[in-house]
Amino acid sequence: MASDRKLSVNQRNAAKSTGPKSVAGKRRSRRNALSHGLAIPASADPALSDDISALARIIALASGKDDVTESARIAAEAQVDIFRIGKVRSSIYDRLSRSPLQEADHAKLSKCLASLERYERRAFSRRKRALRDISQTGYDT
Amino acid sequence: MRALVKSSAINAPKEIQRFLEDPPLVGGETLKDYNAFFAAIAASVKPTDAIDWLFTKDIVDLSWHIRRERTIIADVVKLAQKQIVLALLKATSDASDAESALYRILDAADDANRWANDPEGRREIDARLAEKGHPPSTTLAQAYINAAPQIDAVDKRIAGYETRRIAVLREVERRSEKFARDLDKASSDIIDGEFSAAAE
Repeated sequence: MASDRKLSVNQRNAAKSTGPKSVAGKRRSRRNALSHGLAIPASADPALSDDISALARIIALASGKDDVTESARIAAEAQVDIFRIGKVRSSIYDRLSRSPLQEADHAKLSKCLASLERYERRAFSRRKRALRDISQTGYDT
Repeated sequence: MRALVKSSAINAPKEIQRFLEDPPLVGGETLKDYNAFFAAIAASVKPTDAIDWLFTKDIVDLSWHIRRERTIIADVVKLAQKQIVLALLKATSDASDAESALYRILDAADDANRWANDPEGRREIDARLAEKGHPPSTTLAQAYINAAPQIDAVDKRIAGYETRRIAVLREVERRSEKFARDLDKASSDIIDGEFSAAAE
């Protein structure tokens, strides 16, 4: 465990690097989470609630349940996230793909696509857990 | 080698259909091709419920991305080859000859385009360069060397898609080993270009 002295040094150092200081920098960074919207879960977007509900019902029925369980809803939310990520990926390809692709284009394309991977991994793994819950348990509402 | 049924309709149950109709198309890719691609895999694996259909869409989309990246690699190599052919055409023309100087300035690029787009022109130019000590095999090797950073970038993206594809297949396997096996086989066949119009 870190000593008190070390903790206070860490806190001082952290305070020196907590994001942009200038007004312009703060304005820019304010929009970071909105760059593709994937940091916000599908469940938080009212425009997607119908899709999530419909999909949750479909998943529940396919799993032999008459009612929409919590796991079915989580699986549906994750699935809608997977669809959203797919759309963002296509738009990245569209924006950066030109013919012929130069070395710099490839590097940029790879970097942008890599940034989607963590969202996709999380969505896949949420869906995986939820589907396993559905298949392993009975009603889990 | 199994021939896959080519069809343009994804015959999923009505309730799930709308969730399958948003393909990850880019640039010149067409909905018709994507639907045929999807339908071919679906016809081979015959999903039985909505969850099977969702897994099938995952595999179809990941396979579609892999195919796209493979096309990009082919384009990258072809472009690099064309640039090498152009450089060789210029380098192997006689520097002391005024006509050759004009060729280097005016016609070499046209010949390089001909090499890239016309099979007959390609044979003729390959033969001309081979006579001067530059056979097609060395041109291709040099193209791979020159394009190595781009090829590496595309390879890494393909590896990422493959990893996810395998993860999805593993998940499918928990529900049905047979369905996972069929899905793997059908999508692998298509990725490897074994997509044939066997039947409508």
